[in-house]
Amino acid sequence: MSRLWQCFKRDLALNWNDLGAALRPVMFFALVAVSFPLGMGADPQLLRDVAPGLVWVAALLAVLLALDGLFREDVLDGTLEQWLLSDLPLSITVLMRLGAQWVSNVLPVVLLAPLIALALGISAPTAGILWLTLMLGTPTVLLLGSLGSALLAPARSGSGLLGLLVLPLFIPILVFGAGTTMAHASGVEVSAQLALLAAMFVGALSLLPAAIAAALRIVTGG
Amino acid sequence: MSRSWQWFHRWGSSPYVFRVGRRWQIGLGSIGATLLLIGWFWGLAIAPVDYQQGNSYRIIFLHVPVAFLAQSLYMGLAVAGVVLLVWKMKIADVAIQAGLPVGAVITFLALVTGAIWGKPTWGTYWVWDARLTSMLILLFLYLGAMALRPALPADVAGKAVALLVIVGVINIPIIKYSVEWWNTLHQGETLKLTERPAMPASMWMPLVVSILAFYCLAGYWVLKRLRTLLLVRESKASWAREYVEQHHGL
Amino acid sequence: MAFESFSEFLAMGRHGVYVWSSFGIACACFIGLAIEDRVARARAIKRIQQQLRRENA
Repeated sequence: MSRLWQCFKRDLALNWNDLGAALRPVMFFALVAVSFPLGMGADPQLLRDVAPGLVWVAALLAVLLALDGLFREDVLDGTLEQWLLSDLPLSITVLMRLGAQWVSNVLPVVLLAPLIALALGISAPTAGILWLTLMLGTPTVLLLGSLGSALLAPARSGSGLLGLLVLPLFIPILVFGAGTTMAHASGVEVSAQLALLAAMFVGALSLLPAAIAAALRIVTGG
Repeated sequence: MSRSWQWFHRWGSSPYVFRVGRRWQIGLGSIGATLLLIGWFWGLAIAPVDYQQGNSYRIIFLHVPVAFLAQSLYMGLAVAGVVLLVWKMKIADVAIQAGLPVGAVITFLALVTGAIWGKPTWGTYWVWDARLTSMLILLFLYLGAMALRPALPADVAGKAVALLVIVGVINIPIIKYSVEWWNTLHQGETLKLTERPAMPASMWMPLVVSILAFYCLAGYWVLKRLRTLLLVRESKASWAREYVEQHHGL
Repeated sequence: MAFESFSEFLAMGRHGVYVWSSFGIACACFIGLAIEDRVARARAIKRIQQQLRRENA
């Protein structure tokens, strides 16, 4: 148990060292979210209506940024070989890596999102629900997206191919995350949808690390 | 039991598939073309006009077959992916490479015919309903899988694409369910193509014939492309050289 | 027969442009698939022929 914690802390420390890279997703998120009112006009009703979807899409794009080239260095500098040789199952190592990635790269986005939502005119309770959907949904999105990152590990990063591969997979989470928020804004009881998002997360957590490990093995010819 | 395994593994050999596949290709192509001519003539010229939609409903004899085929083909490719990853039969990789573009074209056709049909029926070319939106996402799944192969080194690309297709197929029901729920959020038009009263036999019979036709033709197209790909990928193999020497001379 | 004459058949009761453009696009796709395969196969065969010629020379 303590070894898992050590792995996790080490990955966190590595991310902390490169703080600029870790904060890129949240800055991108803020810029995208701000571009919309500038592009659409500041009609308060319109902004309030589109805010849940807007914030969610911006968050997805930010997570995509955090995922791009995620495993590439590990493949290139031999870290992956070390993982394969270690007695920890690859899926667990991957899980620790992704956990650290979520904490350092995605959590800032999730924490900033309610503030952006409030700025777009969403009421405080709905912003809270939005935050909850992001807390439940972004880990799932990160897991799904890492499958794409793993498959693209030998490829050049920044080619935009990752988005094409994984955005279709994100759609259910986007639909439920933004949809739940919008439903709450119109007064609907949303505990069922939140439970569904939680279930998606649990499902992803149990199934995807093994799939990501398999993908890493495949692309390194293992 | 061992006889069926033998048969299964024989299809793993490229020269066998190239040779025997030709017969299947010709068979499926002829049956498919015949059924298509029958089905379309029946549906376009003989089947009665629809009370609600007029003659535009006849697009159904094209739209429904390709819509079904788009999804079935993707599932078939996922099965090929499993065959590749579990039994390591390379021919499954060739099948996936051959089948993905066919599936993408079929899905594109489903979208285009759906849009064209929508105009006279509901007044607009595109609606964000569950069926059309899911079909659009399916197109992206096809295109993504096609885009992955050239980005990776050749020896790992096949298995990576297979994994992506398998993950995609698991996602399809989830995507469908979420898009349907998304659609209920906006109590706009719930355009169910099958909402109409049960189709009379004079309409569903040519429809069934057309569907069968398309499934046969899909087999024909995939097999054709697969055999061509075998020549491309194994150009240095002795069976390929012998074939070219015998059939096409030097 | 659902139509009285061939011109009625083509017109499809005002919906002709929709019906025929759909079927037309489908046929174009079929032809496209056939052409693409023919070109790819011819190229592959040519490549193998060149190989064989080079070795026999």
